[in-house]
Amino acid sequence: MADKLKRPPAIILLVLLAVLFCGCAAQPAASYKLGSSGEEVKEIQKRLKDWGYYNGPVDGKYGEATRAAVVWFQKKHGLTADGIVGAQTAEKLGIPAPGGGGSVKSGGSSSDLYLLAKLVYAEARGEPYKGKVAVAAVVLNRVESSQFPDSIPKVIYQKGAFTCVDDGQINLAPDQEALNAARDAMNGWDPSGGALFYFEPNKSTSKWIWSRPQIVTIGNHIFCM
Amino acid sequence: MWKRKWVRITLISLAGALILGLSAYSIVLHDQNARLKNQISAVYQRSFEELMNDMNSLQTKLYKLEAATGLNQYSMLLTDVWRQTGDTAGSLSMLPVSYAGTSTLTQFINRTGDFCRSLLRKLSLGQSITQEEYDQIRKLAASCGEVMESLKELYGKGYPHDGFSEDVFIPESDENGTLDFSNQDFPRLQYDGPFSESTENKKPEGLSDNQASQQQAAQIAAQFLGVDAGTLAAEGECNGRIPCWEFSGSQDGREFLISVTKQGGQILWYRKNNGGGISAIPTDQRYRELAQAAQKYLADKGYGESAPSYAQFYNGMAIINLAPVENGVVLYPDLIKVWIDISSGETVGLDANNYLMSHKPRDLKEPELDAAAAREKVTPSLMVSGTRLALIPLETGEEKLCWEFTGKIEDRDYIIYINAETGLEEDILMIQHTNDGELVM
Repeated sequence: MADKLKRPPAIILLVLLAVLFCGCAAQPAASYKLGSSGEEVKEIQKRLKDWGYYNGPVDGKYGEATRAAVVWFQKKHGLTADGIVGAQTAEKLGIPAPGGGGSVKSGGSSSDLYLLAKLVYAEARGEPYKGKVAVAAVVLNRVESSQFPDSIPKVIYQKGAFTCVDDGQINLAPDQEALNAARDAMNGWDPSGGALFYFEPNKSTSKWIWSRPQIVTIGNHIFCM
Repeated sequence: MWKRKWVRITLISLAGALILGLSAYSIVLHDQNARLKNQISAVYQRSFEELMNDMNSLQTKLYKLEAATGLNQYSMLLTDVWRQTGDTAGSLSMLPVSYAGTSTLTQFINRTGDFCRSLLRKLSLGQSITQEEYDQIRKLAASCGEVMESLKELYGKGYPHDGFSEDVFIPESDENGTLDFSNQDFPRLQYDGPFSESTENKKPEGLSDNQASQQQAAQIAAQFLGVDAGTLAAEGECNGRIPCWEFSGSQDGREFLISVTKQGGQILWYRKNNGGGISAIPTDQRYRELAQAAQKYLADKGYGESAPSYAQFYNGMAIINLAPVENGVVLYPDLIKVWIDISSGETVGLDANNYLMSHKPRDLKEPELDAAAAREKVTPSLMVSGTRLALIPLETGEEKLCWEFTGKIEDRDYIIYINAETGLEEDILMIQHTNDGELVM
C-alpha cells in the first residue's frame, strides 16, 4: 500500500522534469515573429521605437517594418539577426521571455562589475538602493586609497575585510538591483561621501569602529572614514 | 525476563556502535579540519615570506638607484619598484592582520610605488632626479630595512604559523594586533600622484564660502527640481569630502533623493527612481537626441555650454558624461554626469562631484601650437575624425591644455592628447565598445 501511494508523485516529478528539460532544449517554440500580434508585440514595438530602431505605428502587429527593426536591434547587440524575438532578444528588450521560459542571466558584464555586484548582494541586499550603491562605493574608495590594495578583487578578498567572504555569501548570484548599484558606483555615484568603512550600529561592538569619524547613516549602516 | 535481557543487550550494543561510529566520524572530521587549517596556514606562510622577500628586494632596488647614473638603469629600477609594490601590497592583504596595525605599512608600500612612478614621469620628460628626491629614496630604503627587521623577528618566533592567532581586520578596541606598524615613522613623501597626500586631501575648488543651512538647502533642492520645498523630507546630513544636506521626495510618481552641499549650497547629486530594467543600447540617432537633451538640461540649470563625451546604458537609462566648454575648450576635469530615461527622454539624475571639486575661474592661454602642428605629433596611422582643444586632468593633479585628436587605427577607436604648449603626447585613450555602451580606458 505504502509503496503504491509513494509512486505517483515520483512519476509526476519525473514527468515534470522531463517537460522542463524538453522545454529548455526546445526554447524557440514560443517566440514573436512575422505575423505575431497582441499586447506583447505592442510592447516590443514601443521599446524599439523609444530606443530609436522603429518608426512605424505601435499597433501590435508584427509586420515587415517591425521585423526590420528587430534585425537592426539584434545586429547592434551582437545577437543572431533572425528578426525573431526569442529569449535573448526579449531579455535585451527587457520584456518577459516568450513562452514563459526562465530568465536569462546576462553574462556579458565585466568581471570587476560582477564581483562588485556579488559583494553588494551579499553585504547589503536588505538595504535601500542608496545604501547598496554606498557599499559598492566603499570598495571603490578603498581601491583609490593609499591604505588599501589597488584593485577591486584585492580589496574585496583582503583577508577579513568583508564578512560575506568568510561565510561564503559572496558566492551567491547577484540580482539586477545589485548589478545596477555596482554600475552606479562604478560610474562615480558615491552616496557614502568617500567612506572607507561601514558597520551595523546595533550589531557592532567594536570600540575601534565606533571611534572612526562618521559620515552618514543609510538604512542599517553607518558609513565612516 | 529473557525479553528484558535481550532489550538491554541490544540497547548496549547499539549505544556502543553509535559511540564507535561517532568517534570514527570525529576522527575523520578532525583530520579534514587539520588539512584545511594546514592549507590556509600555507597561504599565510607563503604571503608572509613573499612580503619579506619583496621588502628586501625593494630595499635593494632603492639603494641601487642611488648608485645609478644612466637613464636606462633609472628607468629599469624605478619601473621594477613601481610594479613590485602592487604585488607587495597584495601579499600583505592576504595575511590575517588588523587594519589598525598595518594601514600605515600598506600606505608606505603604495606611496613608494607611486613616488617612483612620478620620478619615471619626470625622467621621461628629460628632467633629472633632485638631491631632495635622492634623500627621499634613501629614507624609503632605510624604512624597508626597518620593516624587514620587524618581519624577520616575527618570522623567527614562528609567525604566522605556530601559536599565533589570526588578528581580525576590524579590531574590537584599540589593540593593533601582532603585525603592528602603527607607530613606525615612515617618511613623508613630497610628490604628486594618485596616492599622494596632496591628492588624497584635495578640497573642493568649485564652492563659494557661504554656508547653506538645512532650510536654505531644502529651498535650493526644491527649486532645482521644480517641486514645493514643503514636500521634501529631510534625510539628514552626509559629512564626507563634500559635506551635504540630503532630502527625499517624489515628483510625477517617481521617488527622488537629492544632496545639496553645505558650503556654497550647490547640488552635489540627485537621482530619481528608474525601474526600466532594460540593458539595451539605443541607435546612434536616438543617442544624439538624448545627448542634446542632456546638454540643454545643463545649460538650463546654469552649468553653461557642454560637450558630451562617452555614455553607458543600463536599467533603461543612458548615463551621459558631459564636459563643460569654455571659450571653445572642453574642460574634462569638470565632467558632469547626467542620467536620462531612454523611453521618455526625461532627466533622472545628475552627479556634479567632479565639477564641484575642480571647477574654478581658469586663465586659459592661447595654444602655442596650432592644430596642424599638433597633428604632426600624432601617429600618422591615426585616421583623425575630430580635433578640438581640451583641458585634461593628469594623474599628478595638474591640468594641461591639449589638442584632442579622435580617430581610428584600423577599427579601433582612440583619443590622443597633444600638449598645446609643448607638443608632448600627454595621454592616449582607447574606447572600448561593450554591451553597456562605451568605456574609455
